[in-house]
Amino acid sequence: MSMSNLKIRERLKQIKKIKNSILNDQQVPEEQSPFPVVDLSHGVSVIIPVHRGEDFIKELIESITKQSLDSRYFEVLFIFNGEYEASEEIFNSLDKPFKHKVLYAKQGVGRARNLGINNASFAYITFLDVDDTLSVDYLKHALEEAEPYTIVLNQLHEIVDGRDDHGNNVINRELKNKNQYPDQYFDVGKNLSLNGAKVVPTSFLLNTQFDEELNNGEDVALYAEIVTVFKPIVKINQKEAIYYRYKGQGTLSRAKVTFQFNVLDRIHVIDAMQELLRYEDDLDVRNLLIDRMRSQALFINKYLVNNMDDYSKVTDLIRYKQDEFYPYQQVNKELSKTLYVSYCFPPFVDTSGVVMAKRINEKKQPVDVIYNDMTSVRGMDPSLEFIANPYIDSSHMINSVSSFSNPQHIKAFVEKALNRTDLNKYDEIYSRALWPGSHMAAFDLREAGNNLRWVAEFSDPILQDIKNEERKGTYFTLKEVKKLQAQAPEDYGKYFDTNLFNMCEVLPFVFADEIVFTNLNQQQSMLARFDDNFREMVESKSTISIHPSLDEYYYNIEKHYVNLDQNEFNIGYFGNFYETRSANDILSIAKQIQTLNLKAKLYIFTNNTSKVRSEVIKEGVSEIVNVYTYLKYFEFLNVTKDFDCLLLSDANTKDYKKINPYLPSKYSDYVTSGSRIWGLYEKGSVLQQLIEEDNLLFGSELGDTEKIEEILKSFNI
Amino acid sequence: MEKLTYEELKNLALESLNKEERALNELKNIDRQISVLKNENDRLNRQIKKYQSFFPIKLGLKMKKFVGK
Repeated sequence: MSMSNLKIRERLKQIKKIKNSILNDQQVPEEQSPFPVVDLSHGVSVIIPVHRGEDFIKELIESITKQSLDSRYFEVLFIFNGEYEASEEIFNSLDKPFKHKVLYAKQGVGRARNLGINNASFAYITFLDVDDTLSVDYLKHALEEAEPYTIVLNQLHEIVDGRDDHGNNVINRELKNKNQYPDQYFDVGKNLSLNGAKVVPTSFLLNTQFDEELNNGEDVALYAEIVTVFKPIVKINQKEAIYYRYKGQGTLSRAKVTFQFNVLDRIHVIDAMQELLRYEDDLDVRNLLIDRMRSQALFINKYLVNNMDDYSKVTDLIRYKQDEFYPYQQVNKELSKTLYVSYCFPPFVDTSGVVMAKRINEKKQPVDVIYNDMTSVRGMDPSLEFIANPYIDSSHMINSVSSFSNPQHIKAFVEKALNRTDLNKYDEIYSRALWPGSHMAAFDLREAGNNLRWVAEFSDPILQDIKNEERKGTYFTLKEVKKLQAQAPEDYGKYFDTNLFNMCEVLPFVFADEIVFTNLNQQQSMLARFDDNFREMVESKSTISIHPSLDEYYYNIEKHYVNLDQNEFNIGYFGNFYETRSANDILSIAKQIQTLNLKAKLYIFTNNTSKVRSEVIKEGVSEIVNVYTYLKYFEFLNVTKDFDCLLLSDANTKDYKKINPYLPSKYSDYVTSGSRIWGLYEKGSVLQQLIEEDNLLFGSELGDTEKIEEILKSFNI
Repeated sequence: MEKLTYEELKNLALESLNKEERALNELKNIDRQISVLKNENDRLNRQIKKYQSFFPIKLGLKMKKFVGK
């Protein structure tokens, strides 16, 4: 029995406290032993809750009467609860030649068993259900094997509609071909989550009792707790001691799938185990807990399979139970009808991946996800998985070299994606690209899946970069291009070529069933190069959908540690600076604050801190501007709530493009924060439209220092 | 049994707490070593798995056997 490191540290802390009290002549609080010492005589108490069961009680009494164990060493506790009148009558008329007690409790199997435990007079307890029976030597052989701090597992036979399975069931099979002492709790996990067929020291049960609030699954929660608290020795009984469990027609074993049993009760049991897992660092016990949580989740899944209409009702109950080990995957098992293809996806840190996760979060439907292993080019933040995980059935991470433009690497991704997925289960594919790999894979997947419905979303123009120059990279051979042209309507073939970035736009435009743009300017800008006919075709199947926002819950997941002075007016800017997105306007704001002598501070969060810092010093505004590195996503969401004003800046595109096709995706994160938003816009951009539509937004055109002064004054700092 | 003074009782209690503290500290170190070894063991196991599934080595071993014959 190894004490875990955590507990050792706890005890050491306790010792320090006691020593201090002794040295200061203070009273020392009385200590409690973690192992209750109970002075009970050797023997076994059989606990039987009786609720209904009038059809079985006669057979039950017979089975106990036949026990070969000397009657001095056992007693039977009958706890009548709920509806028991009929069975009590039969019970009273029967001859009971063994030591027994009769107790009464309010309805509830946990409550009844607890009452039995508290009234037991022997050192070991075995549970029996009213509709089950025991083999003749059960108590004898069980008691012979019983030891302190040890749970003894006996054999379990299921009798289904009168037929004995001779132990050929999932629970009993765990015990076959195992050592007398199994190596790991996990090996006998199913046995360790049911009441029947085992002997437990009474001392354990006096310390850890059944949760009386649970309607069922109370045994799963109880044994998980006993294993966590006591780390007992588990022993498989080598002698014959059979517990007969009756199933099928006319028995009390339940089979019906209901919301209460399959969902609500299972969620409670999972909660109880999640709580245990939080403080447990023994690997073996953790494995057992995680495994049990997963098998509980499969009950929820079973309910959902038949009641998909309740999907959002169910996920709303569990989507905030964020934990690395919450068994969402089991809840969603085999439910997904949509395959999401996102070359970059959480846990990898990347804006386009996060937006895809937010889309899933917004739609509240079970999905499968394919993404690439981006380790070499992107950092990882496992907490990002909170966004989409509650809705993910299976997620396939493809191991290919990450690349934005290399055709070999992208082809490898596409090929592996094809091999990894079983396309028969889907109705739809949803791909989103900044990374061309997403649409290229989706196109092939759609074809392999017999022309599945395909929705393609663009986060940015792909062919033209921010300076309106065409990106180039050969992906298809001329032969392949010919083949693709043959598949497309004649008029559209002229746009096909070997260039990856062109085809990453044209293929979805021609073959997808729906095109999603994030704003109207983007649509116009991307379609400008096509003829009217083509443009109308794409427009007719396109949707404009701004980046989704997360609800408020996600703004409180993580606490930020930015030192904001609440007496000042704090302005925040999050983003990097490029040639097309300069820091000029941000620095103008700082300079204005300085000239107007306002009680305001500017906080810049950016990747390139040293460069921005030197710029700040050069401009002489280091008193006003603080420069920090990027925050983790949820820290960022949390801090947005604490700023008085958040800055959003358009990219500067007017030197290169007719219209500005970009809308900073941070806008969607800012909106829910409740803070003022100040947009530094370019004329005609989507950001400008948003500012004009919404009175809560402040706006100044890039380079307009007079307007900056006006806005700063309007804040009444 | 002779009666112990308050001071003696105090010393007795402190002594036994010190002993427990020392034992627990040792246990803590052992626990740490165990987890280090466990991690190392897991790492080596992963390594083995990786090499077992590494086709050229398997093939190489077969070839070696074949040539040996």
